[in-house]
Amino acid sequence: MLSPAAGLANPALTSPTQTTARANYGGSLGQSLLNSMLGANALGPQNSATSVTPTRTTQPTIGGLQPSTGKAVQLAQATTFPDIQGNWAQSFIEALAARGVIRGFPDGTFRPDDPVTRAQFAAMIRQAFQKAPKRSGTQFVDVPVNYWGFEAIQEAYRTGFLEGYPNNIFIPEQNIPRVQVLVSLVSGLELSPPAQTATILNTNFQDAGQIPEFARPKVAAAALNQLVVNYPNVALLNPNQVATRADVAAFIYQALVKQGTLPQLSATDVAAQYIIGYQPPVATPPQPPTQVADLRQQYRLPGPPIVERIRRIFGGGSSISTPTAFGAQSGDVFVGASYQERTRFTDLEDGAVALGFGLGDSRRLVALESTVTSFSTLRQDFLENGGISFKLHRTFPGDLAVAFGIENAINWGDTDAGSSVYGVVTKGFPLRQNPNEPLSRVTASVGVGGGRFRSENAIDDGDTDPNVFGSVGLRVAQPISLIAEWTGQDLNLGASITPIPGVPLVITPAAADVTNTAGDGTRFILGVGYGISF
Amino acid sequence: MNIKHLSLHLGLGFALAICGVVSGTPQAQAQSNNQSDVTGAIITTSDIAGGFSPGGGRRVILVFRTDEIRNSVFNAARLVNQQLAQRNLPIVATGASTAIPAIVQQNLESVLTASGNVDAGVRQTASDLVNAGANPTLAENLASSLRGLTAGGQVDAAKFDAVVRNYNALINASEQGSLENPAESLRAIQSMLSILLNAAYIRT
Repeated sequence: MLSPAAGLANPALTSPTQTTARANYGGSLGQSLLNSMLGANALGPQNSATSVTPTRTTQPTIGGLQPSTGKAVQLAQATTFPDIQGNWAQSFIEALAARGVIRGFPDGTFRPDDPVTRAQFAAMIRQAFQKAPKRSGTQFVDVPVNYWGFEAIQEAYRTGFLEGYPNNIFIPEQNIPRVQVLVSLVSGLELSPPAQTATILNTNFQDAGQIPEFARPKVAAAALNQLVVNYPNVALLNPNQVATRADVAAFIYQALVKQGTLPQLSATDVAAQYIIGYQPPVATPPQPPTQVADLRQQYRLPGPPIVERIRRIFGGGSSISTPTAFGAQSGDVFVGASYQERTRFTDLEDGAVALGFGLGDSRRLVALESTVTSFSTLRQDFLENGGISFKLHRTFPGDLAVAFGIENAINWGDTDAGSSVYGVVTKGFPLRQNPNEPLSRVTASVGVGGGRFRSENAIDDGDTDPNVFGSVGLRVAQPISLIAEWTGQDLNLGASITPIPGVPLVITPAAADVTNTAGDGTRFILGVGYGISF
Repeated sequence: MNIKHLSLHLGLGFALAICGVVSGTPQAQAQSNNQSDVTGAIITTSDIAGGFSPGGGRRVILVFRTDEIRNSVFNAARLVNQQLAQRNLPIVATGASTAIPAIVQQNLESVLTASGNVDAGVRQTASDLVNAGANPTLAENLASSLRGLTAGGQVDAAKFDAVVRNYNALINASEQGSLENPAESLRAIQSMLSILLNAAYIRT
């Protein structure tokens, strides 16, 4: 299977023999380090057809970083292709191919007119620019960790080259429009938008009116910095047209020119006429290229031996006594315990334990969560009083979920839990891109249910009409969410705490019935849960 | 006890302790037929464990490949800090073997350990690189990324990686003249990074 991603075969199947433009080690120190540690064959001259990466990665990516074995690999890579001979973008493509930024397909072609997806673009960005991260990574809901472009997308995000769409969506398989490529490069290079945006756009582009409003300042910056290459008509930007591989090569090349990494094309190059604001390179005394390359080679250093680790961030809960519409799916297992300082209208403590698991996929279709609960545990022996509950739930894009459940559909023993049927909708509202920042998220649920969701009076009167319940959880800091909840009969206030980073232990202390609605005073309750995703 | 699993053990221990509290509840009838069994924290869904909501997410972090490498780099960082404090950072890298001027070492020490006037140290380091012909943006990137690299004798793997990237980016964009007559700051940075990298790779 072919993938146009930077010209690689299916990235998910790529062998470790991938190249990267990042590591060109050698020179006296680099040479000595690599000779002694990685093997001299690992060394390759700058911009040559070989490169090595002894450092990091955890999974195959189009970016081509080597698994962290410490062994270097020498690779051959084409720097030109039969189907770009005479192509307007030939110079751009060949220069980037020589640097390992883009590659051809296994059949030897480049396919300059093929589109580029957002994930593929992220992979090219990763190869082209060596930029330090400016922010932490983020988890896009549609880019799972095992997606081939996960690391490239993360890096493009961390370095400021790419953003997601609202609600943490990235749409990695979307063909990227030309305007997005330009906005990305301007953002990544941190080029300042000019003051005269409209003038610059109207002067350079006959179709300036088609440029989306959000992109106008950055497209103006791109034009001002000679990043824009318009083929076949230099006066037409075609901002919303899908970018071809040739387009992207041209844009990235010009960005590298702006960065000082690559030379401007000469005035005699056919592509120069398509560069907005093209200025021929200033003539400089010729230097023996090999001498400069050798010097650079002597100075370059290998990257440190590091690896990427995925750390799961646990968001904690957003409810205390009431269900939300999120739940366990296939591979999810949980245990929990609850404690009541005293139960309603008694002075007696109470406790229960539960074990549950999920089946199905709530994002693709639907998932079923099943929970076995032992009420009044050990008072009358484990599972002597108990129930089995079910929750059918579906998650939609945008952190929206809907669930239908039957609490204690099956009861046994001497429990007064009863059965409660309910429906609930939950929506998450990310307030920050980075979930580690304070006040990063609000999660709200609202539901309707019978059984225990009825008011105290309704229960006493035997009134079976359903009642409304709901909860709101605000993550005030990474380990703590504050929760306010209406159970249908009580107002509860509490917190959900994940005390140990990386450990899915959730503790939920709360005050139940803080308004004394039931006339029995406020009670202290506590929940502890531990969930694992396999 | 393996320290790597300390947090897991703590978590499990805490959970077991809570279970113990619950199981120690006096054996008496609490029910009064008013559904008191379910008026505590929810015990019938995974919400007791956070509900597997998508709000958490995953974060990619960069770490040294092994603890041994990390410890070796930390030791080297402490050594570099000492050498800079004594103004005797060795020349590990390319070029002339003349000592690096004390003022350059002082600036670098301030930046690396995030002590003293760090901003001035960053500016001076970047200025030194630019005066020797480096690209101003790349020089600024490199100088800024050095902030606190060896502070407290510890080295963050991601920061270390970023510094080497920025250093190589500057080298890749450097002209012949600026490499034939390198800035003193460049020599100092190269030597410092070389010491850390040698410490890292000697453990691989």
